[in-house]
Amino acid sequence: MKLTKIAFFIILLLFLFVASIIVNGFLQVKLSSMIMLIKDRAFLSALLFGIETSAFATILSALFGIPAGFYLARNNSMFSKFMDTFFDIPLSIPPLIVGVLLLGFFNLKFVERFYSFMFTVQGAVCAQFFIAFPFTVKASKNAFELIPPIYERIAMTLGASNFKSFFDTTFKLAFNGILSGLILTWLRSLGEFGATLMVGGGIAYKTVNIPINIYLNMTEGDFDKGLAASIIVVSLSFVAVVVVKCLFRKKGKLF
Amino acid sequence: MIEVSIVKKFSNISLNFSFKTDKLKSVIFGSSGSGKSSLLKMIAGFYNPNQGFIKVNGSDFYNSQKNISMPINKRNIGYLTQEYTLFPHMSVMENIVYGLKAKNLDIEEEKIYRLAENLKIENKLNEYPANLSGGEKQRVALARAIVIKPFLLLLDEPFSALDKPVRESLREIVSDIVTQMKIPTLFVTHDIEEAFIFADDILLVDDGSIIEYGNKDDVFNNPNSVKSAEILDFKNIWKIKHNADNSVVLETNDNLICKNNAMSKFKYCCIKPENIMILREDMANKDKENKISGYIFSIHNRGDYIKVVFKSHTSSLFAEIKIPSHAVHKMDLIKGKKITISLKKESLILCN
Repeated sequence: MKLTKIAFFIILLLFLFVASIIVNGFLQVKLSSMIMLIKDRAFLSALLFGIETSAFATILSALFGIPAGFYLARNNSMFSKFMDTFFDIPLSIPPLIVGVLLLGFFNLKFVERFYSFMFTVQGAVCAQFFIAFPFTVKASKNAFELIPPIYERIAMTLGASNFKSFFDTTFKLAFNGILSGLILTWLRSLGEFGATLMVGGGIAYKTVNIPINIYLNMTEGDFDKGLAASIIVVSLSFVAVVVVKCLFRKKGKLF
Repeated sequence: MIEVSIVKKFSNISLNFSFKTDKLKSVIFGSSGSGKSSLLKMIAGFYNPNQGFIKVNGSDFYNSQKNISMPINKRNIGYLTQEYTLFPHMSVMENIVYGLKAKNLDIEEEKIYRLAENLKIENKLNEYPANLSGGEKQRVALARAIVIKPFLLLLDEPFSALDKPVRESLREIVSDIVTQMKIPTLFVTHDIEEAFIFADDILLVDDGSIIEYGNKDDVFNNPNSVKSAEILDFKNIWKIKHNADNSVVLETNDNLICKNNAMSKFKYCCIKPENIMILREDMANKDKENKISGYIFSIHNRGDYIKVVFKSHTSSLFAEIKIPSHAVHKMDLIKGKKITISLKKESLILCN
């Protein structure tokens, strides 16, 4: 049997595994729970908080992660290799532990003097940024690595400035890869639980995001509400990803 | 006018180039790894030399003493490499007008269409690079480079990835266009035929420096060093001693008469494989200059021609001869056959 055929069956298995879990969720969810949830102020507050904090964390990741990825892609020094490995750390530490570390850091006197992050939106954004920015760095690095620097140089010989040549060639060509990284970053931030709970404190109507809201519902024994919230989040995430991808992927070109 | 005098040290090679040319088409010729492409990249500004200067049409591209390094986008150069460097996310038309837009110049569609027609890409203007052949890609890259009317066109082996017919036709197109538009061009190649056809002037490069520079006929036919002769494919290079009667003796003790009288300063004698004649049997005894008798040591079919390796009967002299394949059949040349060769004195070059 050809390797591609074996791979095809493996992909089919993976699809069945994921699809059956999601479809089962859709089948089990009760319409009445959904309607009740949409009217639930606590859930809507958590949804808004989640979207707000994850969007800020993603914007911060883009601002810092894309240049960092570019540096790692274009620089082959020991420092670059060290940083590449170093940025794996936030990915490998369990989020709850990240939360504990952040608590320790935010409690430092000089940090507190600068800004009090504890139990605030800013603290939650920080926690989500810490956990999710490596996705942007890694994806940007991989995307930039695929684009030969000669395109930028040719653009410069044609009269483009340093920044314009980079933006018109390398950035636009790498954009799809970067976008995938940003989507992953956003989804990771949106679904962040442990660190956000530790730093934000899970204060109702203030620092509760969707996973914390679901967790709180489940601890109260309201499985239907938890499931309904999960299904709404899955649907929203899916629609958002599709819309973003369609917006930026025109036929044959990117912008 | 292009004036270059630069030094650049890399970990594996040190480059030291010094030349001045006001010819329209100059070819930088040398073997791979000799530093030709690096020279072009430094002129383009992709990286700077360690010291020296690069001056084009009177403006300093680089000058270490004056601390000048003109940014790439201010140099107004066209640059073509063997890699296909069209921007893959832009159409052919977008690629061509990119420079005009970047420089805020007018986009005169009629002119661009005429240029596209000259380069036979007028039907491809809306295509994307992925749908073009290698030759078409390079024609678009050429259009993109010359549409901004550069001060200088730098060609870094732009045709080496193409097959022969496409390469030949593109070479002619480029040669015609740079002549028509009067764009000074530096063309890097390691293809001797390409160098000869394209060049007005030629710069021979070896091991990071220019070993010979001048008019192409002079350089190709009269190399003044044994290194130049090797690079120019002379193949037959022999060490010589001098006789009193203006003839030379090879180390193998074969006597040769040369055209050049002031020969005592020279240490080597060389001749191209295509300039050695194999005499027909009925001509072998007639009065021909520089005759040497021997036999065919080996014979190799090279497709376009036949390479015959000759070995002298009386000495250890070997000679490489290039002849058309039909001559092999006509003269019934086979390995081991006794033959007589003639080395015309006009073709014997003396060098150091």
